[in-house]
Amino acid sequence: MQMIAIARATSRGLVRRRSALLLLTVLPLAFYLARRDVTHSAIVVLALGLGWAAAMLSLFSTVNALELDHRLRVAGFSARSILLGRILAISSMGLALMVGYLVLAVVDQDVTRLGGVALMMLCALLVGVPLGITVGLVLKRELEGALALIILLATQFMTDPERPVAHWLPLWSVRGVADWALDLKDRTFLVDGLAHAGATLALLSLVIAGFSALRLRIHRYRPLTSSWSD
Amino acid sequence: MVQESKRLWLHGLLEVCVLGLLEERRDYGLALANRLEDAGLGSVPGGTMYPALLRLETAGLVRSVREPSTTGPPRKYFEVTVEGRSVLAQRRHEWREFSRSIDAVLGLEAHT
Amino acid sequence: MTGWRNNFLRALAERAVSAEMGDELLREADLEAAERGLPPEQIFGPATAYADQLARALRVPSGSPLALAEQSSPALRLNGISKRYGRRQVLNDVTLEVRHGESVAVVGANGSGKSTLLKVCAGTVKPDAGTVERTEHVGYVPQSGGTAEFLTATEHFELFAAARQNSRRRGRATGERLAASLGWSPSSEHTAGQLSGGTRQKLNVVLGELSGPDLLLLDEPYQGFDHGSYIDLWTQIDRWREKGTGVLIVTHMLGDLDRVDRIIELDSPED
Repeated sequence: MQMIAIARATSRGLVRRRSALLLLTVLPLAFYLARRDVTHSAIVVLALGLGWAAAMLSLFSTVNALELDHRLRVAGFSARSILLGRILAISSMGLALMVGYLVLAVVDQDVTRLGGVALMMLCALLVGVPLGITVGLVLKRELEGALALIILLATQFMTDPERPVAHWLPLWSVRGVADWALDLKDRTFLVDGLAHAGATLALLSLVIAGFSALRLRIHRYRPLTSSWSD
Repeated sequence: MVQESKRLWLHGLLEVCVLGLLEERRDYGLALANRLEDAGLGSVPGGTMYPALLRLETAGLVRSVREPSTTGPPRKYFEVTVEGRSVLAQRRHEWREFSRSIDAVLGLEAHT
Repeated sequence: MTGWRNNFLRALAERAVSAEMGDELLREADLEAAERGLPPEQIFGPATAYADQLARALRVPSGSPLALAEQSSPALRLNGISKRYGRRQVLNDVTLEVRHGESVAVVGANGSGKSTLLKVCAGTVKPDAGTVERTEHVGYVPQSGGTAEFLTATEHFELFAAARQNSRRRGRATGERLAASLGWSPSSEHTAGQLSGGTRQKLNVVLGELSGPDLLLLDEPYQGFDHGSYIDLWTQIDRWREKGTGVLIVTHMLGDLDRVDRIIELDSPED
């Protein structure tokens, strides 16, 4: 299938960039180690870091493929296969990271709601991947994209999640679910968190779908027959 | 320089000139170059003559024959083919018209 | 003298002249040198230049291209294409046609919109006015951005094969065969970013022709090519023509324009 071929090629290309992958893996770990002594903080920043790493990964993957995508379209790939294939590849890598960090969190910290921690990280991925793609499609350049992500995500870290403005930041869901998963508050917090993730994902997906449809259009032409006898 | 313009003109006409010489008489590379020089067209180096002969051969306008020569190793002779003759006849006609136009443009015509 | 002969043989091999033919040409050069009692350098000039001339002289001319074009149906037809970017009118009422089995060169000054024209043909740029008619199956070789930096040549072949539902193995086999026609043997170790400019460009060209398209769009495809590869490319273009593919090539190398069936010139932008 076209989508699988794109996913395979994307994965191969990403796996070759070993230093980048190493640094992206270390990113959440660095945050985690900084806050290790406080369980709540440690796992929250670990999850946020995962989201950040996923966003960076999808940003660079998107920007690097901007010109190639046009060519892939002309070669016969559907816009959907290009987009979904790329998302599949990045998400798979993100999931692999997530499993690693989940194990770390369970082993190194005192965790009651394992499922909750998993949900936190899942929210981070579900938002982080499309966030990186969106920034890549809108800004089209690596430096500008990276700066935009830094602004969004650093602000995320520093804003008190209780403040209303915090709800406008993309990864708020991680903190929302954390209230249920780590502070063991009641279910409404879980629902709020998941709803935020869902809404953010939906919004970003809309933007991505819209941009991709426009960008990857093959403009209308009248078809001619391929045989060369009249 | 006088030689420079001749060289440029001959570059475009070399193959047809060689074809003309070969129609008159079959010959080998060096002798053809000598005949061109005797005709006042300057000296044509081997690096130019042999590729020209090879082009004519690839196009099927001449064929090559190796012949034992009396003095030394076998020599490669070129002779014109039937197709070569017909192409040459066409080129003669084209040249006549072309050179007439050039003469007119250069003010070389006797009258008009 | 040994140096000249080595250079001669090597240059012929690089230009895809067979080993037997190369040996024969060398033999003839030796005989000539022996007869005249002169070193070959003096008779023929530098070995590489002489080899280059001979290689080109050996190119089999394609058979009656004119007859082909007259009979065949169009593979591409543009009518009244115009495109403006901001205040610049990049394309102004361009009309052209490329038939199956025909090669057409597009020339023009820098900024005359040659690349944009190809993108309009490929469908990635929408013209402000005019219609595009073309076969569905098109191959496109862009001037830049056509390859993925971190994938090997083989991985490229496998990827592009999937575009038309071909198996990976078939993609690899076809890719390697087409690469050989351009005098290149793809490595499964080096990524595209690690290839020399000319080789990466050959990969670019192969990807365009990989699926055997009916219409081939080439945007100055010979960047970084040495002379031999340049000749190989034109030989390949001739082969496509014989197979019935229509070829539209943007070029600024005006020396070889006698190898195409028709030339289209785009007007320079008015300032």
